[in-house]
Amino acid sequence: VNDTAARLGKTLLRAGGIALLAFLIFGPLANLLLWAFAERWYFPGKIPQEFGLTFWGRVFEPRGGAVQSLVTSVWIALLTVAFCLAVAVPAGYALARLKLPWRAVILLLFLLPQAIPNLPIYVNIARMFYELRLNGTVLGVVLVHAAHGLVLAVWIASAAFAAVDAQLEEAARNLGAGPWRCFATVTLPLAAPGLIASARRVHRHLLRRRARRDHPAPADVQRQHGRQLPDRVDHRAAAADPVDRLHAAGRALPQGQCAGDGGALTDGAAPRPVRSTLRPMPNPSLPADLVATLAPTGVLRASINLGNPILAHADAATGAAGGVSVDLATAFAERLGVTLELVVFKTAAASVDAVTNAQADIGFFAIDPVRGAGIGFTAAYVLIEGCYLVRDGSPLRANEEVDRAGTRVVVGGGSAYDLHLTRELKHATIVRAPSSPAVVDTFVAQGCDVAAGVKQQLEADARRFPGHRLLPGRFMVIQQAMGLPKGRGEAARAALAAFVEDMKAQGFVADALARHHIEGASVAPLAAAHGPH
Amino acid sequence: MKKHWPGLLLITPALAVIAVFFIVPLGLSVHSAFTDKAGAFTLAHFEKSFEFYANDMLFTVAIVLLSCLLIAIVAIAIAGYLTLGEHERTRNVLRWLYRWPLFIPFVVTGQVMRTFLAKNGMLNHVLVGGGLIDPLAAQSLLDWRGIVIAFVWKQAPFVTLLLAGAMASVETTHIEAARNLGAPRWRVLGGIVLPQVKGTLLVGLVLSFVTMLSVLSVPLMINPNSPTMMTVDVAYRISTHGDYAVANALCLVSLLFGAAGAWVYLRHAVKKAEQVS
Repeated sequence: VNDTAARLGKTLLRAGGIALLAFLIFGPLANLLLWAFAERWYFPGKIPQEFGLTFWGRVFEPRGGAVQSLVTSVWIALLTVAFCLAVAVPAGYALARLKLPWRAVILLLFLLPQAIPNLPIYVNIARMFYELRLNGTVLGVVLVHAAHGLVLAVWIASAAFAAVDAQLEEAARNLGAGPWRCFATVTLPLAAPGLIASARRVHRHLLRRRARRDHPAPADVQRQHGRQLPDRVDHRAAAADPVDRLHAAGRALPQGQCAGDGGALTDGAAPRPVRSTLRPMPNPSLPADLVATLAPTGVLRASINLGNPILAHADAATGAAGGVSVDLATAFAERLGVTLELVVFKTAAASVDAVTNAQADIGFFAIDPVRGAGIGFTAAYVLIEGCYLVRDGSPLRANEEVDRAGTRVVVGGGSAYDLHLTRELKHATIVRAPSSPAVVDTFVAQGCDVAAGVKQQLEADARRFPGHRLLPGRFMVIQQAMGLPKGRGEAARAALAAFVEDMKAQGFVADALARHHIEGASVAPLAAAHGPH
Repeated sequence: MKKHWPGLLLITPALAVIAVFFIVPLGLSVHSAFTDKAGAFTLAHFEKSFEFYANDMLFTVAIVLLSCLLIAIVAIAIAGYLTLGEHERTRNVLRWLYRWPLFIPFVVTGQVMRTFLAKNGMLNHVLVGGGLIDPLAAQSLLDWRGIVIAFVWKQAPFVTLLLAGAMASVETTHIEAARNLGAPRWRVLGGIVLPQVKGTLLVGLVLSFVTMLSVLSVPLMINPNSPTMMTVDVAYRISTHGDYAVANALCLVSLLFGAAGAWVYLRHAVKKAEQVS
C-alpha cells in the first residue's frame, strides 16, 4: 500500500511540475493571443468582453504595408542565412579543429558583436553606407544583418564541429580517406543537426530584427513605390541650388535612405523597398543667422501638448512623448541641424504660454485669433473636427440645439474649443475641465448636458462610459498649425511656414497620421502662398 | 609544428565581415565617445555617463547576473531531468515543452510579459482564481522582477538546449555505474554529469550574459523608469537628445562588462586546453 501511495505521489508531483511549467511557458503566450483578438477587455474581466478582428484588419490593410514587409523580410532573411552559412561553416570548423594564431583574440572578436547595444553600430554603419551608396539596397541590408547573424552561426557551427568525436575523423583518415572526403562523409553529416540549428537561429534572429524595424513606420515601405514620387521629384526640381537640391532629396527620402540615391528615384527605378530606421545625418540647409533666430539657445525647444491625443501622447511604456507633433519637431530640428529638446505640457494653455514667453522656440497649436497676439502661426498642417457628446437619453439631436439657456457644456480649459465656444455660445453655460482628456470625466462627475472635444477623444470616452453618443457632424473644425514667438520676426515665421508646406507636400504629415493611427484628422490643403495668417 | 594557413584561410571571410561591419563602426563609436565638438580628446562624455547613469550601470549588472544565476538553475534542472529522468513520457513532454520561448523574439517577449505580469494580467488572475492570493494583494511585477522574469523565460531554454546536448554526450557507463552503487540522481547530476558539461554551461551563460546586456526592447517595455538598464539610456540619449557621444560612451561601458564575460570564458577555455596537452 505504501508503495502505491509513493508511486501516486510521484506521478502527481511529475504532473504538477509539468503543468506548472506549461503554465509558465504558455500562459504569457495565451495572454498575447487573447489580446490579439480582443476588442474590449476591461478589468476585472478574466477574458475579453468582446472579441473581433479589427486590429488584424488594420495590419493587413493595403496602407499598412505589412504583407509586403513580411515578404521582403522573409526574402532578406533567406539571403542572409545563405550568406552566413557560407562564411560561418568554414570559420566554425577552423575554430573547433584547426590551429589558429591569436586564437583568444579571434574568439573575443566573435563574442563582441553580441555584447554591446546595436544602435550606435547601426548609426555608424549608416554613415559608412551613405558613402558606399549601399543604403536602401538589398545588399546593404543583408550585409548588416549578416554581421550579427554570423556571430551566432560561427559559435554554433564551432560547437557542432567540436561535438563531433575527433576519433571518428582519425579513424576515417587511418582508413585512407582524404581530408575532404573525411570532412564530407564524417564531420559534416555529424555536425549537420547543429548547423541546421544555427541556420534556423540566424533566420529567427533576422525576422525579429526586421519586425522591430518595420514596426515603427510600415507606411514608409509603401512610400517607395511611387505613390508620392511625383511630389518628391517636383520638390527637388524646385530647389535651384544643387546643394540644396541634394539636401532636399535627402529629406524627401524615407528615413535612412541615402541622399545619393536621388538620381535613381528620378528615373522611377527606386531601389528595393528596404530601409532602416536610422535618421539621416543633420543637413543644415538654412542660413546660420536664421537658424540662430529660430533656435537662439543652440537647441530647438519644442513645446509639446499632451492634452490633445491627435498631436501627441505619452508612450504607455516609456513615458516619452510621441505623435505627429513630435515627428514634425524632429524633422524641423533636422532641417536646422540642431538638437531637439521637448518641453512637454499637459494642457494647450501651458503649451501656448511657453511659446508666447519664448521659453520654447516652436509649438503646435490650433490657429486662433486670441493666441495670434503673441504667436506667429504657419498655415495649418492638420484639420481636426470638434464634436459634441451627450447622454443617450438626451433630447439634443443636432449641434445647433446645444446653445440654449440652461445647457451646461464642458470644455477643456484653455483649449481651442474653449476659445471657440466662449465666443460662439451665447446662451449655454461653459464648464471648464482641467484638461481636454478630463472633459468627459468632468461631464460625468458634474452631470452636465454636453461634452465638447476632439471627435477621436470623445469616441474613445464614449467607449469608456457606455450610454453616450456623439451628435452628428461637427460644430467646428480646428486648424492645427505650428507657431513660434512673434518676436522672432517674419523671416523666421516664413521659414517655419515653408517647412510646414514641405511636410504636407511630401506626404510626411499623412504618413505621420497613419503611423500614429490617427483617424478623423486630415492633412490640411497646401497654402496658396506662404503669407501671414 | 602545425601550419596556421588552412585555419586562417577558412576563418578570413568571417573575420572580414566582422571587421568591416563591426570593428570599423565600433572604432567610429569609440572615436565619437572620446572626442568633443572641436575634435579634441575629452573624457567629458564618460564623466557625464557616470554622473547620470552610475545607478543604471549597477542595476544592469545586477539584473543580468541574477538572471544568469536563475537561468543556470533552470537549465540544469531541466537538462538534468532530460538526461537522468526515469519517466519516459515526462521526459518527452518536457523536451517538447521547454523549447517554445526559443522561437519568441525579445520584442514579443517584452510585450507578452507586459500583459502577463501586469496587475490585471493573467498571472494575477490565475493566482486569485486559484485562491492562492487575495485580490487586494495582487501586485504588478513590472519592475526589475519583470525584466528578470522575461530574461529567464527567454534565455533559459537556449542554455538548456546547449546543456542538454552536452549532457546527452556524457558517457552513460559512468552514470550507470554511479546509479548501480546507489547514488541518488541529484548526486549523479552534481558529481558526475555537471563537472563534464561545465564548459558548455559557461559558454551558454556567457552568450546569454552578453545578449541580455544588449537587449533594448525588454527593459524599455517592462521597466523604463529609473533605475533602468543602460540600453534604455543609450536609446534615450540618441532619440531624445541626439547625443551620440554620451550614447557611445555608455556603449563602451557595457562593452567592458561584456568583455568581462568573455574573459571568464576565455580563461576557462585556455585552462582546458592546458589540461589536455
